[in-house]
Amino acid sequence: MQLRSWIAFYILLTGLLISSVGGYSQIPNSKSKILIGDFRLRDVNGSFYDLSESHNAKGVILVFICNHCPMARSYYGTLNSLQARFGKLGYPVIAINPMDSVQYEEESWDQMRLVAKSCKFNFPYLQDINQVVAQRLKVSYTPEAFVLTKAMKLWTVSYHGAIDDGLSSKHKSGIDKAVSELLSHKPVSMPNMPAAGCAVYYRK
Amino acid sequence: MKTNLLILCTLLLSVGAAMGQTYNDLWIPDTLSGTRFNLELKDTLRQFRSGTKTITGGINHDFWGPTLMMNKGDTVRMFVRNKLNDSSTVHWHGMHLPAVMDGGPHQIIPPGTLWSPYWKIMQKAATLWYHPHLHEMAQKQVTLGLGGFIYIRDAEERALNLPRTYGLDDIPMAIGSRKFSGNNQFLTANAAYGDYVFVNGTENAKVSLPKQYVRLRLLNSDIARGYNVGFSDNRNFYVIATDGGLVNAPIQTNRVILMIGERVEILVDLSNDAVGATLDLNAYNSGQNQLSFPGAENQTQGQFGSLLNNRDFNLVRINVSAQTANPVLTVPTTLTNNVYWTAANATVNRTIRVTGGQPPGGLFTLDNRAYGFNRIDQTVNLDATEKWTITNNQVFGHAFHIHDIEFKIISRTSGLKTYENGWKDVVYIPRNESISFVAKFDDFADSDPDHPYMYHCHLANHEDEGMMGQFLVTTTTAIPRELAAADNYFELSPNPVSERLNVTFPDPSNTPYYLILRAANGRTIMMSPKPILTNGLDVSGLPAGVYILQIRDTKNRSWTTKRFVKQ
Repeated sequence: MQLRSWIAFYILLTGLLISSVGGYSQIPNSKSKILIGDFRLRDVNGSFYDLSESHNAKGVILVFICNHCPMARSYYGTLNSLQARFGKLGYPVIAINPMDSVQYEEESWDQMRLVAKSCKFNFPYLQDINQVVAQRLKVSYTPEAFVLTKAMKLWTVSYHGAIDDGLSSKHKSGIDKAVSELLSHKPVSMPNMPAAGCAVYYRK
Repeated sequence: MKTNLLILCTLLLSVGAAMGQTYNDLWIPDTLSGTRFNLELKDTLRQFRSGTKTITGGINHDFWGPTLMMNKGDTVRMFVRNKLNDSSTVHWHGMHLPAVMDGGPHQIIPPGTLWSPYWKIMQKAATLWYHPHLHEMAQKQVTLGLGGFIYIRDAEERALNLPRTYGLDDIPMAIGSRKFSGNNQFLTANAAYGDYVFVNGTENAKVSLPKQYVRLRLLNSDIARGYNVGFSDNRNFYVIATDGGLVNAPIQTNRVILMIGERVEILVDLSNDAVGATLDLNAYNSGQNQLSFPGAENQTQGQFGSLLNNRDFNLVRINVSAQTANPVLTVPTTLTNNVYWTAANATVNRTIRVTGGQPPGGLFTLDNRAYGFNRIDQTVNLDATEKWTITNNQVFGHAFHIHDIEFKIISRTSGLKTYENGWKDVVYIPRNESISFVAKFDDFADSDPDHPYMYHCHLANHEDEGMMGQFLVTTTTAIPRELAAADNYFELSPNPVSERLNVTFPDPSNTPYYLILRAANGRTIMMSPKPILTNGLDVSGLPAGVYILQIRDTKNRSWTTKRFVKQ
């Protein structure tokens, strides 16, 4: 890619401010240049997932979901499909529950285990029990997705926003489109898409 | 280029034409009857547009809620479970009841919590409604679809020959508009007016109504738009009830302006229409005063823009169907015998001024004060009959609503509309007008500043921005606050408990005012105003563990906290 194209690409990435649409789907800022530090969170299988140990991954599809939000729940099947398709290509799905489990009884680790089992999650489902990873990424809603790519051992955000646009599966959008482009060594043509779902409230 | 534009225009026109021909069956909410009402507020999804589903809010449904059928004289108990992601409240709009049961901004129900108010229905037959009233969240939560009708019935109304077969010749119609974002979500901020109108959540609604008199209960459940309602052939109809119930005699008109929160019951005669004929219930909103009528503005874009602005548009397509058995074919000449108060009855005069709104786009206030959650703006003596005058010399119109009571409008600068001649709880105040009403503040005194009543503009965006005040109805000047903690205020037994927790009060004259049950981590499980604990508290459904029971007493308004173990 020529230098001019790269410049245009970065202007697009950093300049795309998604305007507020009233409490939902507001993405405060493009996070394309934010470097994501590692994190270590407990999975529903009891073990701890450590991002720094994703040695073989080219990137990670990081999706913030929860048990009680109907919009998040409607995407469980999609996440299984994304993992089935992209996990083996170096972009595994990692789901994180950022909800305050003190406020929401149904967001406990035990309830997460039940959800992961009944919905046959084929990806880790981690509890961000102190909401630190979500705060670091300024997560506003569930579901809210990030495609992280690894370069020089650093994680950066290549895509942020909705899982997809809700249209037919033949029409690629959101994560699917972004990861497909990354796998084809193309720039991500739509690095942001407004997320919509349940607001994440941070424990004070 | 010209060709492209021509193709685009043709496409748009054909899409518009195609949309105009498509009607959807008007959804008639189901009903709940009796004296115990279970309502579950929940986040839901509905396929309004192709692609991403729209996040909605529903009460036992995926948009809006059931119609609650209540009878005068009954004591009703509400079991409101908040399964939303957000905190909320449920206000019983138009209901005469104690402030602590009212569901205003102070009765906040956290997510996962059961709120259980109760009260005796003391008022006459009327069409009321219920909706969230959480300060700064009203616009969002009402836009999502949270709300529902309440029908109060009584013997007087039942004795009249009026249509009252729900869903057949007695039809509830909640009218509201919505605007969608690019990803199909409702816009809930910086957007006063919707682009598309919905009746009971149905877009392009149609309904079959029998060839006889039918009763339509119209509610403006919008955020900010007024509706000037009439029929496509300009036929006359009869207003038989305003916000607070029946008017003395049917009022003939061919238009009714319905502001936000207002209700009217109308009778329309379909007996001369052919079976199969159509009739449109429309909003004749074009040509209204653009500086005063919400939704009369010209613009289609921006915070006050909308595709429906300053336009006439269809609300519901009516298809006339065959007459039913025992049809209502006449209109009663008299309906009730309301004796209205006049200015001469008022012992106190108050004036509330609409303020703010300047510079254009500035926030509106009442009496130059934005809403104060901890400030009481008016104190009214129990049983006082008062005259309130609301003056609006600012730049826009408003819909003034007061909780607790129904009032009688006694004057309006431009003259009273004929169909305003009844009990009201919302009144439209165009700019450069003042209105006066008289009301009696009877039955419920409570000096607790933690649970005041509200008066406010019912444009939800104005309300959220602070165009609201608080009042107490009181027999004393003040409630003592947080006096000495009463450790022995109540006792629990047995503890540990497995089934029924007995709560006893050493001083039986000091009744419990408010009860909160919490999990050991502080999460609220249940909130119960003025709990009745004569049979104890049923804790059989709680998982084993430690719980916190907090009760506030009536005399001292002190909170006492005790723990118990559920086995």
